[in-house]
Amino acid sequence: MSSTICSSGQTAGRSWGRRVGAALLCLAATAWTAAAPVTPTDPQQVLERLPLREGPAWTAIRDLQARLAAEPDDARTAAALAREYLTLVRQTGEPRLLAYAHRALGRWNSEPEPPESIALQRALLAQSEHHFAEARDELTRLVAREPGETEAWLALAAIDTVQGRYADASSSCMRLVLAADPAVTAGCIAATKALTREAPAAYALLTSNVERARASASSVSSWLATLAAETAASLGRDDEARAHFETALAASEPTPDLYLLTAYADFLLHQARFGEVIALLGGAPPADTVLLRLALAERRAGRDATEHVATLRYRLELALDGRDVAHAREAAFLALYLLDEPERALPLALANWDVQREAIDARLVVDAAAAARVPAAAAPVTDWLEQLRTDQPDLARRRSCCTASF
Amino acid sequence: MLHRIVLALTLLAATCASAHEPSRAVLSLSVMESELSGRLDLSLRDLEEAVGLDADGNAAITWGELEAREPAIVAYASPRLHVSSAASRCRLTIAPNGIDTHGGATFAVLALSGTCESPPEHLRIDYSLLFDLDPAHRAIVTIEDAGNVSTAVISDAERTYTAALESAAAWASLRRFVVEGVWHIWQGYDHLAFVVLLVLPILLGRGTRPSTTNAGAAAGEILRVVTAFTVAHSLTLALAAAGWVPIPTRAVELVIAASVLLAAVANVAPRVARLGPKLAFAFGLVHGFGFAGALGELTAGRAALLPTLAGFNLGVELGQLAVVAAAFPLLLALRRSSVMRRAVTVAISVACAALAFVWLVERAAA
Repeated sequence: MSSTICSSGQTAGRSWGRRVGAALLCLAATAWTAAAPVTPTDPQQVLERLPLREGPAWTAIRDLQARLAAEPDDARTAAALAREYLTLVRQTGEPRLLAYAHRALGRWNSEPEPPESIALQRALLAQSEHHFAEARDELTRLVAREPGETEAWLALAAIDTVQGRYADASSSCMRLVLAADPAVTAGCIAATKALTREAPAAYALLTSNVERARASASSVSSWLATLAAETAASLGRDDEARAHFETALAASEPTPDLYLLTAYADFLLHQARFGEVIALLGGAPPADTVLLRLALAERRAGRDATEHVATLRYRLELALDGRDVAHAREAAFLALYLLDEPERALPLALANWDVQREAIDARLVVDAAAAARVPAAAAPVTDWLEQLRTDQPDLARRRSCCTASF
Repeated sequence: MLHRIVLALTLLAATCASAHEPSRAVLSLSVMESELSGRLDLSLRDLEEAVGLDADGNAAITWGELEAREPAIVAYASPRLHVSSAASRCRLTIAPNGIDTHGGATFAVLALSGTCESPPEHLRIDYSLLFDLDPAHRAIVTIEDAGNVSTAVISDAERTYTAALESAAAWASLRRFVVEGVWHIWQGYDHLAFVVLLVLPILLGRGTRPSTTNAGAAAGEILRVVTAFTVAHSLTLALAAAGWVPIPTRAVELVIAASVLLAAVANVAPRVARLGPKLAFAFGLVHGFGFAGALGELTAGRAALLPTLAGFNLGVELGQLAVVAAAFPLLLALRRSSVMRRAVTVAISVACAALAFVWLVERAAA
């Protein structure tokens, strides 16, 4: 979207937060242009280091790239290439890889009904970019065409779970029963209940499957253990949560995915174990989600977080300004916990709540509203949680899962 | 089957790629009438994708490698960046200009310079770099126009941005020409001398006859005379600036010098001429042509007429007013002594007459 944000006279009717954001973007933009360029003298001076493209994943990618170059119309190769990139994205958070995935699928860009393998990867790519509606449309069309496409059902369940449509998610999970590993189906269903009053039952389902999945593929057991850990944490069973996180971590070595790392970091932050957060994330790829937790831990531990905060501010600039809703969660986190600007964080957290409804999303809204001294602004979240948990005897304690500050 | 499921699994965790090293370019342009200047900063990581920089493939880009690819970078950027105004296309030249860093990443800096056929009222940027390589690429655009800054974000979906410069340009030229007008009155001694000579006799009297009017009546008379002069020179300034009446430059210069000489003589010998509103108006017409000549030199026919004219005229009035306001209390104080009154009138008038005579000779000889 292109629109004027600095010109005077165009700010009328815009929210206070957006105006502040716009002003900051202007400042940043002017600051950028202020520095004078330099011309190095030494031809050997290294100006930039590119990410190393090595290891088995990149060997496979090069192989697929070569095959695709030889046969540009080969949908299976293109889809496999996109899948490799998306797998790396989940490990590194590097957005350039999404661009590579787009390029791999580019040949089918204008086709509304591409081969199934392409449609699936295109949907997963859209989901990775938080274009949930687009991803959901593609997946819905795909399962209508091919009801046996298990992965598409799983992805649909994932989107509906993240967005809080638990009934839809559950029914997608049920499509997995006959086709997939029972542990996967169990995890799929348990995830839809983690925030509801059925959380204890979901937790029981998960713990039994974590045991069973020890024999399964490492990513299945790691995933189930992560889910179990999060559910345990939300039930206030901190010791069990910690044990599950450790299990998940052990199962996912050597390349834990970023979701696990950040979920574990959030748990540790909540427990004020800042040193452990720093140790956990010290070697992780410098994705935004990682740097946010790292910077917060550094700050709470009394260390200098200036550099990480500056990096985050640069990367999330457009999101802070409300111009990149896909990263509203990260921007709200940054504004609230690291920039101490709750008034700026609140609209971002609320905008994010319209798109994502996981525990962290609820917590951001409630914390931002409290810090901005407008607790009533969190009503969409508190009402929603209330509704999910009626009849729950330990409501007050359970609520802490999502609403207690770090 | 399980393998496929397993690969999809982490999706349930809904991990999203973070904005980690987003693909960003920074484009800034400043507009000065029809001249454009600015820079485009492109990250080396993006340029590696677009044109290839890492010649030896060691994942480290050196200055030598970048420098060697500078022609390729310019060749890549030139057809993908266009600037135009509503009426005319603007020519943009791109040249490499070293490096800079933003958010810890290194950027190649391209210097931009260009001209539009006329001063743009709207500046349209068409930007299509890198979107084919990364749909998430963004260009942060800053357009500066006489101190007014507008910023926008260009994306794959919205590859153009049009900045409205009209009001900004008009306002800026108004401001600029007010200043020019004030300067012109203060530096053009002939106008200044004429205004002083107009005011002088009203307060200090003409010839040997002392002024009998009180301060209030004197102020009223000054107002009438100065207004007559102002209306007249505004009229000819507008006519000449609009191009409806040609400026007889040489004659105008001569008549202005003559007007000063005549005003000076009239103050000492009132029988020659009486310097009232009518004469002030008549000479005002001539002085207006003089202002128009000066204004023409400043704009060289390129600037928008209305704000320029209004600004310049306002500036001339302000300059005039400042002179009158400064002279008024001074002359009022001198009125008390008849010796001083006479001495000052004669001294100033003779000095002005002498100056005017010199101008007259100079201008006649030129």
